[in-house]
Amino acid sequence: MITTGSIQPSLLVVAFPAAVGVLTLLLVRRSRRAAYAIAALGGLLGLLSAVWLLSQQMTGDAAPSPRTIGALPTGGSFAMPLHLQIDALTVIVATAVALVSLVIQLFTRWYLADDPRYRVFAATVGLFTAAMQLVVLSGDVLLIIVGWELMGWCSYLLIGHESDREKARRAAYKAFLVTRFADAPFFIGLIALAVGAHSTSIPAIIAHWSTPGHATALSAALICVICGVAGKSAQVPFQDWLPDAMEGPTPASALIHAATMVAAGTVVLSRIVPLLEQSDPARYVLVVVASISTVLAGVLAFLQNDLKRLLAWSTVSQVGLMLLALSILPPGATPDLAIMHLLSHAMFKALLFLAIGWLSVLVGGTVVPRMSGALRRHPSADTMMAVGLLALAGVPPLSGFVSKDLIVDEAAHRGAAGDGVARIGFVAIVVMVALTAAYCMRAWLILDHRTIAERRQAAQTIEDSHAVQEVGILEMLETSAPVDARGHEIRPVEPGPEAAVDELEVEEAEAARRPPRPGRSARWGLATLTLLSVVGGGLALAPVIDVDWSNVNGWLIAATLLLMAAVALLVRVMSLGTIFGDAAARVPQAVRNSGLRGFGADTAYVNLVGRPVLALARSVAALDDLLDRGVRDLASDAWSLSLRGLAAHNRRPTTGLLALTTGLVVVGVLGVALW
Amino acid sequence: MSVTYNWALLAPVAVPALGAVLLLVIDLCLPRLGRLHWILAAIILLAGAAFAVPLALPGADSPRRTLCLPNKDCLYLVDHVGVGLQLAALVSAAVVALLAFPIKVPGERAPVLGALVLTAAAGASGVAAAGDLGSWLVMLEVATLPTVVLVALRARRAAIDGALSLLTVSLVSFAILAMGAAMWFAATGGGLLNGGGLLQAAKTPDSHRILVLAMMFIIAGLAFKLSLAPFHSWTPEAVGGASTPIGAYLVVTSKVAALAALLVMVRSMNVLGNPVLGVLGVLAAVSMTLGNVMALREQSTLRFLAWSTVAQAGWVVLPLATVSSTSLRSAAGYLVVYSLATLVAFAVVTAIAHADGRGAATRLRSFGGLLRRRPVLGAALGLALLVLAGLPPGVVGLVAKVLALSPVAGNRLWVLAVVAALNAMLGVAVYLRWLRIILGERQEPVARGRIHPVHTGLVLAGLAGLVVTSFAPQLLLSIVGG
Repeated sequence: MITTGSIQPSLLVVAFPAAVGVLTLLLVRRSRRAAYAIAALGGLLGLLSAVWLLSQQMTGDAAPSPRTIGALPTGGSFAMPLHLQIDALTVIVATAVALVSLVIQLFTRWYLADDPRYRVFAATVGLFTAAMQLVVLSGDVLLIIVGWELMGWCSYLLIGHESDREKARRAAYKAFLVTRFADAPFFIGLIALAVGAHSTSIPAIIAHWSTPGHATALSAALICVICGVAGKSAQVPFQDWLPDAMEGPTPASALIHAATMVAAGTVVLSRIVPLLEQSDPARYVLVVVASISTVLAGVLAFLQNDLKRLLAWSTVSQVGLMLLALSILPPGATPDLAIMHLLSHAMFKALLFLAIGWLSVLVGGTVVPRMSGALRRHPSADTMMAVGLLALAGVPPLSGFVSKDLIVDEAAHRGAAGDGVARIGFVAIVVMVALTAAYCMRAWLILDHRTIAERRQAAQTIEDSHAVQEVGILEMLETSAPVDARGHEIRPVEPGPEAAVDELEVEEAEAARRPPRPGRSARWGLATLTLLSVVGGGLALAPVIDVDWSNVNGWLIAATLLLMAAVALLVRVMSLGTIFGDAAARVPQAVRNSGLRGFGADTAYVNLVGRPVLALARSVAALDDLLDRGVRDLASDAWSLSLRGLAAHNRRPTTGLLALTTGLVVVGVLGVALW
Repeated sequence: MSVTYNWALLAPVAVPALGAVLLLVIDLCLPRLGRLHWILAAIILLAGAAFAVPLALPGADSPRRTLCLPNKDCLYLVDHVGVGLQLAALVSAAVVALLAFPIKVPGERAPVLGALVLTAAAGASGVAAAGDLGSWLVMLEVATLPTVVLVALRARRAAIDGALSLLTVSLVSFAILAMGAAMWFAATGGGLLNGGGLLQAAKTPDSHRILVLAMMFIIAGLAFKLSLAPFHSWTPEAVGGASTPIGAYLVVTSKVAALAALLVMVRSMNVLGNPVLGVLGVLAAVSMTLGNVMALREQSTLRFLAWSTVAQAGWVVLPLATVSSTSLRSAAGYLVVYSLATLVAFAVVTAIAHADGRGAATRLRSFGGLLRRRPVLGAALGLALLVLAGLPPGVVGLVAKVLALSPVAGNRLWVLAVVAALNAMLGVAVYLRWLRIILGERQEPVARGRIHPVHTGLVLAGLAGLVVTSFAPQLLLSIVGG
């Protein structure tokens, strides 16, 4: 039995990753090994603390609201207790965050093997994780704001890690500015909630706003909060920063997408879900935003020419699904469905990103021409890739299937009961399920694509097998070329599909510096993620998650599976005969080009927000200049006036007398006139 | 006709006046005393000031009267403000005498100069307490006419020019004042400043008009003494030409006398109402603007201080643009603060002029790096300039500026308040220019001499005064009943 002593594991969950950030920057100067040791140890300790907390929670020993730095002295009328809030859902999410963060730290060591700024990256990942854990465990809106803000800054650093590249810098600025733009209403909303309740404590806020009588104010505040959530979670209309954020190193993408920043919106909304359930306007706003996002992102994912961007859009789509799961909740329900999907998404998305990162190192890029057939050439990642994509598509019995179909079922259930929000959500989810199946199938077909040469060779092998009786085995073994374990002829690898010669040189040059696969601990971490992606659905059976898995509608599930199968078949047919096995090649070129640019969202940002703001700033600057000129003129006027004064004072007594006379006349006239 | 006498009350005027005669008699008996006459003069002035101290204490009766006629009209009356100004005049004259002491002058000239300073100080002290037009006019001229001689006795070309300028303008202004006094007499039919005749004249339209015109003439005449623009033209010439202690006398003691005269008049003018005082507001605005603007380009130390006087005179009369019980005290309070800071500045200039030669003190440039070369002098001058600019740490200057502005703002004279605020800004630029020189590059004088201990003592006392009053401005302002 673990006693709840003076040290709360919940605090350690936040403190260890933060210590990684601080210690790495303070102690480590050059040594990569030392930085790695701190990062790995800190990540491991963070995970162990989370597990400790989880075990406390299971046995019921966990302190429900541990204090952090003590209440801020704000006087009697407004309380800032700064407590954490521990319950089953948050503890599980914290564990998942710690796990994903640890695996990413282990993987980064290999991925950034020759990056001189590895130290900074590891420190930022640690800080970022700490910020996310603070948001997850916080029971106080002020702590949420602190973590939220810290995440914004860290995401800027991570995305712009390769800051010598113009595109990376722009992506970092874009991510920061877009989320910052959305943060303004978010902060306003949270502050409004806190001011209304005279406390920043979330239980106090929920207790205050749950009393009837301020529906309008509540809806307004919640819509503000939803704005901020849409910004961090890359939902419409703030969706376009996320795919650009792919300019960051792949581990950073994995971290941002899998368990931290993008999921933070869901975490915060699930914290105040009792309020959300009471406000129909807020639910409608949320369901519309999430529906549009999930469908639009699904379409865009299918159109991307870069598999990393495909995964990015799929994240937008999946987070949309989580938010849908929050919006369809009836009053009194708990946000378990959304959190459940958050967890499974964290596992398979981290897995997918790390696997794609691995492959990209081997083939030298993530665009479709390079990725085409990558698994054929590097089969070591194929299990991970397959599990990740199947889980993402929601194929039974993987974790994605369980969490997604529970949401589908709930939406259908609520829609049938007459809830408008759930009906909108249900339609969006069905479309989204089909789109998810489509882009997952497409990704798999690209990765598993065989070039014409490979196919011909396979056909040759079959043909040869027909004639095998005519040759003696011994003779054949002597004359034929040596083959590897899979029966492939051992010879210099054939030139790849496109421009493969250069690529191979690059690959070989890289391979010389870096081992061809991640270290053992990183592979162990990836295996854990794979395993969890497979069996994660079993969490639905666990007592800590409160979902109704026994009464699901079997027909509905069968129908969705059928839909997915049909879509997958269609995609397979579309991919036939294309160069890279890319089904999207059948889509008209104009649509694909537009899709690559996110349907022009970036241009819209620049034209609708960027330019007007700049114009306003310029006009303010001009106005300021005008005022400034007045002040500067005062100085130069005084200066020239003094010159004229010098000329007038020519030191002759007559001048003085003249001035005196004038003064006398003026004074006399003034006196009489004024009177 | 019997008149009451209260010698103790009259002492601040009588002591320096009799002292002037005494000085001449001593010179007759002991012709070789030479510069020691300055010490005597300072002692006599401080003795006169000592008689004024009991009246200036917060518990003293106010106003006190003497020289009262049987019909209860009194020819001599002082209130807190008046006695404060008497103190300021006598003490500043004593400081001038001490500043002048180390300076070499021909032996026979020292008693004359000392007697003249004493005479002028007596006049300054007397005008603050004048109860009738006649003595007011005489005292005012006694306070100012000796300055012409004081300037001229330096016997250099510049001094003669300055004295000439002073004399011409002085005569014209006396003519104007006499004209004003005559019209006043015509309008009220009497010479008493607070008599019933004044009230009666104010009620009759015809005589009221003459009375207003009389006031205008008197204000114009006094504006000359206060060196308010456009009656200021003598100031830079006279101050620039005179020896530095006499310059200090011109811009401090003379100013105190003129303000005392003006306050006596303003007290009577209240019956005429705001329009008369509005003219003072206009003069204040013009004066502070012109003074600041001219000081902005000035390269000579003494002329800089003269222009600074013109600007500060504007600040002094600024509160008088309104009719309120506090405006007199505000004006007197501002004048006292200004006097202290200006005396310190002049003390530093005199000390340097005496030690390193006049050439090393008359150009602003030659003060380069003073704070490092002579820390005490530099600190004192720097603090004095900050007080004049009204910038912390010269808090007392800031308090004085607020004091001067508050009646104006209180009466919603926004135009005047805005002009004053702009000038406060300009003033900062003016004084910081000199301050920057003090803090800036070192300028070694051609011949470096020793600072005379009397000068050092005076500068130290002034510095202490500025520091103490910056911590507790009330100490200084309370001598005028503020």
